[in-house]
Amino acid sequence: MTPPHIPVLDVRSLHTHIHTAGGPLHVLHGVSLTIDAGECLGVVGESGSGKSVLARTVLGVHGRTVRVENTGRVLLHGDDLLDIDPRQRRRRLGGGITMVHQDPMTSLNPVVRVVDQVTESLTNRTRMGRRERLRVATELLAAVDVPDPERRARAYPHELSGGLRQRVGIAAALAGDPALLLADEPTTALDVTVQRTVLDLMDRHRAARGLATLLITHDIGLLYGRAERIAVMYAGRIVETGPTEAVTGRPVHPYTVALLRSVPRVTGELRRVLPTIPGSPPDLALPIAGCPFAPRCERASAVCGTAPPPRVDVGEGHSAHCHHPVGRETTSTTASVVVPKPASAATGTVVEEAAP
Amino acid sequence: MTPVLEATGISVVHRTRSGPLHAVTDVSLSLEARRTLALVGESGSGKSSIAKAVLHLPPPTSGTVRLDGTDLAALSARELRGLRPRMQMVFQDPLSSLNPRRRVRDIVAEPLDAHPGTPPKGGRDARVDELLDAVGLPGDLFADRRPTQLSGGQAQRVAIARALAAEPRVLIADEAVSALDVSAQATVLNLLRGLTETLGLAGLFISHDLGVVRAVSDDVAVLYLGRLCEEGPTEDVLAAPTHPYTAALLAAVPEPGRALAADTRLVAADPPSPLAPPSGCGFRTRCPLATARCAAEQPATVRIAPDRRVACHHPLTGA
Amino acid sequence: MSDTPVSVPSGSAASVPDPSGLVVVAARPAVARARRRPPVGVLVAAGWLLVVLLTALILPLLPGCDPLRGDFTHPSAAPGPGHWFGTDANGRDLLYRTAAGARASFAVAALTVAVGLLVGGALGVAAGWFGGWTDRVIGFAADLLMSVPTLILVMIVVSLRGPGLPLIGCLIGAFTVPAFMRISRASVLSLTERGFVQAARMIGTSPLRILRREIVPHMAPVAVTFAFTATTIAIVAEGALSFLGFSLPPPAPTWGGIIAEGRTTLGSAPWISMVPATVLCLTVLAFNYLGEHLRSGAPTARTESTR
Repeated sequence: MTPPHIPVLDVRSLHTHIHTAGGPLHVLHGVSLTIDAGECLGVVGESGSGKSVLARTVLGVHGRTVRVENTGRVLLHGDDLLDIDPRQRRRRLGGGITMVHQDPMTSLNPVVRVVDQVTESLTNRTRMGRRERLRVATELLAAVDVPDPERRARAYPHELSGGLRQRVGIAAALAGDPALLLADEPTTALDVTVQRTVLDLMDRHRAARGLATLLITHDIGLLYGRAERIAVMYAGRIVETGPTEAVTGRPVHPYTVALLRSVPRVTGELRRVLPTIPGSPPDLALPIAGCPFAPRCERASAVCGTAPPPRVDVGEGHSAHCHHPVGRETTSTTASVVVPKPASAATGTVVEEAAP
Repeated sequence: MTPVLEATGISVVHRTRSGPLHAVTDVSLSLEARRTLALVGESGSGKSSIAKAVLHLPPPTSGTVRLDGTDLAALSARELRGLRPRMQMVFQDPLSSLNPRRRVRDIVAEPLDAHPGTPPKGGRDARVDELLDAVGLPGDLFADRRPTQLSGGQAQRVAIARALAAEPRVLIADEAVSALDVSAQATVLNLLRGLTETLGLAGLFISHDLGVVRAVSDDVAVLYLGRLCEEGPTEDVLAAPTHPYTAALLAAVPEPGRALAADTRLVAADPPSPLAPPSGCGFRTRCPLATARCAAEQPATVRIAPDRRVACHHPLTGA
Repeated sequence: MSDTPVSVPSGSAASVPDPSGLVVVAARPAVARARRRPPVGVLVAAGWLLVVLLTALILPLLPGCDPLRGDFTHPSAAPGPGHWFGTDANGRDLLYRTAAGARASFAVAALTVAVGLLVGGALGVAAGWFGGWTDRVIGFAADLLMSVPTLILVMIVVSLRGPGLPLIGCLIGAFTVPAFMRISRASVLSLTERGFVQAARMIGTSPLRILRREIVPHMAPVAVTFAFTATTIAIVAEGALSFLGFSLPPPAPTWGGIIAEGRTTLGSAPWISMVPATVLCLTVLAFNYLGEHLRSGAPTARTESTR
């Protein structure tokens, strides 16, 4: 965060445009973040918030068919990844950044044995004999708690359960001894009990290896007690960021407040009617003058529609971009001071927003 | 109150290349009007198999399903088709459940068009507008859209409107909100809950997400490897689970502001394959309380309170 | 207690619209671009087919354009004024003959596609929808038919029954039935798994109505794409048959027949064979090109372009 210190990943005012048939979409709008060694940054957002584009931009793996334009900087150990050409970049990345995907069934090659997939990032750079590969794969699988690792190494992905497959995916990601691990919804396809063990596993390796982790999820609850810091994304922007406890406990941005309120919970007071967020996220093909959340925000005023929201710093590295930040007197999410707008009033504006 | 739908002793066995797969074993459920029963379990627990068996799509391998007292197995294919509108289902993937070539108006009107017996009062289009209004989508803005012009939440509400057009007695939602964003999820949950109450529907809500289940259901039934392990009023079960599996499931739910339990309370991380279930209690391979007795005999379902039942040799007490 | 009438819950908190929009925007398929403005090749191919088709339909109807009338003053005339495409050994105008030959080719092709699409499509839908024994029997019959050497069998039947375009069209059509069957069976199988078909079953929609409204419209793009391939198969097969003398007997003009007639004078009057051969090649090429273009656009059936 401070100059002499070089974080593992340093993204500075990253703007990404994706060119589609319907015109360019401004999918990332000045995203800045840093991750230190051994730290986990949780990025939370709904579909279309740009959280997955962020991961793909850092990795430089946008599909061949889409034309992407980036401005800003993505620094890995201080080296700008956006500057170098793709081939050099691939060599540089090698074990530098790896990724754990959402669905291990699709990210693993069904016709290649586990041993070869797990060791792939190693064999790309160094020659390894068959026996050597099996030994390394067995070690890696054992390290991610795969029972009977030697037998599992010889198996094909479809012979494993979902939880085991995701552990194989993690083993493959750890094989190259990366500095940064990107995990895009790594447990969404898994059962709750299995999800818990897979996340615990990732935490363990993060601590042991000093691995910087970018954990992308739609589920803010999943980050609690795991990520040191959270970045909340909305419409391609980081609208609020800070220590996990602070962001979930004393949210400043009205979007974070609304998001936390609408999560159904197993604890706390029983709510028969869940608070909702009226309206829809903005169309990224259209320019946004002020705050992107303004049309759906219960605190919005005239200024929100015209001027970009200022950065509000509430200390401890906790900040938000908002004209009307929720006061720090709001100590818990349930005891929000915000008075909800009547639903009928919201309906009118919202529906017009939604029309294409 | 007499149940709208009563399923007794349902078992579903799939024939697979690796032998018979017991997807559901001896499950009984009853659904009452204005109440929602949640069916909770992880993938492979047989949740969706139960929904299909209840709908007779196809019928269960054994067991009976009665809708308002009528045994579905006793009906001819035509009679069953005539009764189908009484039981409607909302699917997980909202977009794929809508025909991409049709307009919202025609999708919602399908149950009216498919059974042209009694034309709705005020005409078809008026009825469609009424239904779309009921799910919070104004007809003048949405009726002429196509499914690709809808968000996930809107598409799911169109699917609900279509289900309502059939004038159902039973509404089954199979992971109906798990593909939606948090804010859309809240809207659909509120809607389902509201509709069950205002229209007097009997709801069956299938989910793996206990938070969602708590928001929408009155009663809960927890499934593990095709068997019911715990049943009771949702609030009671979540407040004091008696089956170790329910407890483990609850402990694993991540929630903002809720400290993670020190351990997952599970011995083995992964559930066993339904193709080769363990002897005795299915959960014993992961259960921290398992004893020799659990391997030897299948626990019987015991009533531990007037409305709570559990199938476990070592139920948790005083939690 | 009978049906509870569904009334509209008014003012329920549930009727608050939720976020939308963005997903739809982001998911707009890149294929849509290809759809909006067809590439030049497609326009050229379609234009060529239109020209051939119109010429074949109109030209033989015009006075003085008789493909059978020989201009004995100009036998084997090279292309030029008077006879743009030249004449054959009997002084018959090659433009008129090729145009009339196109009629035979298109008639056979149309019949082939009609038979293949209707019979193959129906069998495929039956096999996919009913499954089980129906599927196995139809599948076996298709395998059987595919193991028969097509052209030889057509030649045998034609020698027994005498030549005729309807017979040839139906026979070639019969041989495209297995392919049409496979294609439609596969799409029915995948469509019955789709949520909206299950939803229709749930409503209690009758099977016929489900087929008509939910399944067949989605099969159409795939089937039509293959119809283009079947058309080229039919044109080439008719060309081969008429070349070998198993189609309409001379002097009736067919492309293969004209090519065969010009065979002996390839050295002195190459245009006699070359004119119909070129037209045949270009026509087949155009059909294939269009079919390929449709195929590349076919996946949009899933992500239907909306505007």
